[in-house]
Amino acid sequence: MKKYLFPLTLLLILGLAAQSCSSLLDKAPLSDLTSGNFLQQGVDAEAVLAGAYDMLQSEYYIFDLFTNGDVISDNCYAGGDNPNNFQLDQFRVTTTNGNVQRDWGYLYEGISRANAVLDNVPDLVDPTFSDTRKAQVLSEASFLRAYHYFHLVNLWGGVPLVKHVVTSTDPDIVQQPRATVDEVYAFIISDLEFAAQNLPLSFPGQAGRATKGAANALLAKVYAHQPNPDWTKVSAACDAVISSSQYELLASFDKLWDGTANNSKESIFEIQFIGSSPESNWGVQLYMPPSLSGDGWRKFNTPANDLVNAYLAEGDSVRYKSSIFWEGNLPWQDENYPGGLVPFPNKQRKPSSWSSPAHIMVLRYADVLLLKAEALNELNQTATAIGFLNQVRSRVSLPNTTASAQADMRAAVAKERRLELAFEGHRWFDLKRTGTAIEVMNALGFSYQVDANKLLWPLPQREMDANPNLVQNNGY
Amino acid sequence: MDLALFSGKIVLTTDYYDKQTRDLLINVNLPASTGFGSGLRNLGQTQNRGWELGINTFQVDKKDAGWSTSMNISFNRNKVVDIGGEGSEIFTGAIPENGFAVIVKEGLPLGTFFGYVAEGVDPETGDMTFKDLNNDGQINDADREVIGNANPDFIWGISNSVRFKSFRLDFMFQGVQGNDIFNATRIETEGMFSVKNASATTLNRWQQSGDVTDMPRAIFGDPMRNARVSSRFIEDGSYARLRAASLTYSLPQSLLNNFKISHMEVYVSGQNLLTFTAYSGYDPEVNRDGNSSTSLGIDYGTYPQSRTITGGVRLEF
Repeated sequence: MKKYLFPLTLLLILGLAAQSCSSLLDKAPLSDLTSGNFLQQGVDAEAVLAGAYDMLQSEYYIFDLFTNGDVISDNCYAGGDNPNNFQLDQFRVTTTNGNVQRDWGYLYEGISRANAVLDNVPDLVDPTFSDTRKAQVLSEASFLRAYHYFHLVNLWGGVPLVKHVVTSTDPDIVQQPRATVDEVYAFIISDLEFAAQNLPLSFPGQAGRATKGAANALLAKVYAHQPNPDWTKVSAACDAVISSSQYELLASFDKLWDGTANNSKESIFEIQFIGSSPESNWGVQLYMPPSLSGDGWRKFNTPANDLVNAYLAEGDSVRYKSSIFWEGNLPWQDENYPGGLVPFPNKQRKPSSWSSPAHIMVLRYADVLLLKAEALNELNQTATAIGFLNQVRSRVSLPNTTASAQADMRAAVAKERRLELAFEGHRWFDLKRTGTAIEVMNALGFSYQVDANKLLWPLPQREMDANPNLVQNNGY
Repeated sequence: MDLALFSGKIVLTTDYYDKQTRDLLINVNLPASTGFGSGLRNLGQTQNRGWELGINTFQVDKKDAGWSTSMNISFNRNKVVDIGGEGSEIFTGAIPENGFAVIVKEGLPLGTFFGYVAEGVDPETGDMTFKDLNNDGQINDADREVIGNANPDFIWGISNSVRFKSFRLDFMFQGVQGNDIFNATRIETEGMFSVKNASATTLNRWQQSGDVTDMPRAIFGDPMRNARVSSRFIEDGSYARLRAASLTYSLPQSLLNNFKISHMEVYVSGQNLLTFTAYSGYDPEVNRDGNSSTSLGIDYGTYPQSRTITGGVRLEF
């Protein structure tokens, strides 16, 4: 403050001399930093960008991602003791479900923070802040914004497209109506294409940043998830990742999860943790059994019998052992495992009393190879597709696929994705985009009946109340 | 208007006021799609009008005895006049995992509760029945309406001061009448949706077909949302309270002179000594949201006021 004292005093004197009283009183507070006035140097831009990345360590990506991707699907039971998670698992979600409300909030907060970069960095003039770096910063923010919107559109369908930081509370500005699903996808794609163009292949020594590979991998997923998948573009985006020579499958599947190979050659986008607050992955404590977590309450995201059986039926012992940890003599009863031995997801380890250093890999090379196989198969190039599928299988010592017809290959890829990517937050979204969600879930024999309405969440009641321009999803 | 009767033994004061407040800055909940939870908005105009009536009486005023009473009562009516156009609504008073409980709307008072209308427990299913306000055959967020008002019909107070020889007794009763409280604490203690302690009132819950009770069934996760924001949790918040009382005894001067003490009194006094209310929570005089001007009368695990009793000796040399 001291260094501003002289100019401030001078300003006051000049102000008194030259200006009327009311304009003097209307001055913006000099001591307040707002997202609008503090970007003066490159380091400021980096700080705002770091704030945008920080949302990857929010509850959404630490915990809810796996509830949404695996618990809702046939991979996991809710476990734990949270009524919200049971609602989601059993397809009786209400407009006041706490997860539904908070996830909407987390994702839009992430979007707002990315928008703070995208709104303010372009006009920043600092000779030490190169145009190249500026374009990268904007691209990293674009990637993050696209990633949040990708989750929003998957969970809710068309959502309000907030493209700039909201700096007003005017109802006309804050009460945005929903965009269509196609509009949201178009926006995501334009962000990702911009990012893919400007991001470098890697940031040496700076793991965790969005790279060209991350943008292309997410583009491949986005083209596959949009209402009418564009398989040519999925294939091309996968090619951009594959031909970049940045990525390969790790020889050992287990090494992906044991904490010894963070930011490996297989990892395309990985959320970083160092294991001390606030950089802790506290989610691991929620999944791991008493022998590892040191506590005795019922754990979340219990692997489903259907998934266990899928591993066994495939003879997929490598991934089965790496993905699922069994433990008995528990201080609770699990109605799904009356025998007493209960499975636990094992892809994030070392709970470390809520301070796990376990990274969360949200995009990895095996996902891209399987998307490539799927795209080629849909483009009637089944014979070529088989090679990509077999790459993934041979790494875990499984024989080549026996599928050769297009329909068989489609089923083979879907099964492979499930076994390869279990507990990584993909399954429910894969089921939805392939149009198999209703059939698969209703075949499990639970009391619920899934219909088309239940494939999307309700908009939170709180949001509907605060924004009368929203229209609720069908069935809620 | 002021009036004094019987040589000033009765003094009456009355006031009427009509106050318009413009350009209120209110912290409003924003759509979360903004990335922010709330922000300041200029709320337009509210109106407060009402009567205040005060009576002071001096029943006894002698050397060795005295008794005076002061009574007041006030009737305030509050109304939102303008929040940016007819039909504009602002919701506030969020209950965790249950949406909002308060609506701000033109023509309604600040502190209006909004939610579903509970119509009791269905003896067949044990679930709450809610009123289908728009008769569309389903119960959803469109079936909410005004379910209560946190503003009292009137507030009142009576204080008495009685002295007799060396004793003096002062006490004050105070109360409010006709206000509603949204008892959100009961959502947690009577919701029966998760594994935790519950209120003893849940012993009366529905347990089998045919049970007639006002307490719905216990079911994990509350699939039928029996514990949603509804008139089930609206309670009458009226109360009368012995706000303060004190009894003082002054020791005789003849006794004190030996010790060069000019004056000595012994007293015992207390606050919040008695409360008369039908409200089921800890304290009818609560507001979770503190000084909020829009979110009034919500009890959500809110700490009750303490009852204090103080005793002492006052000496003058």
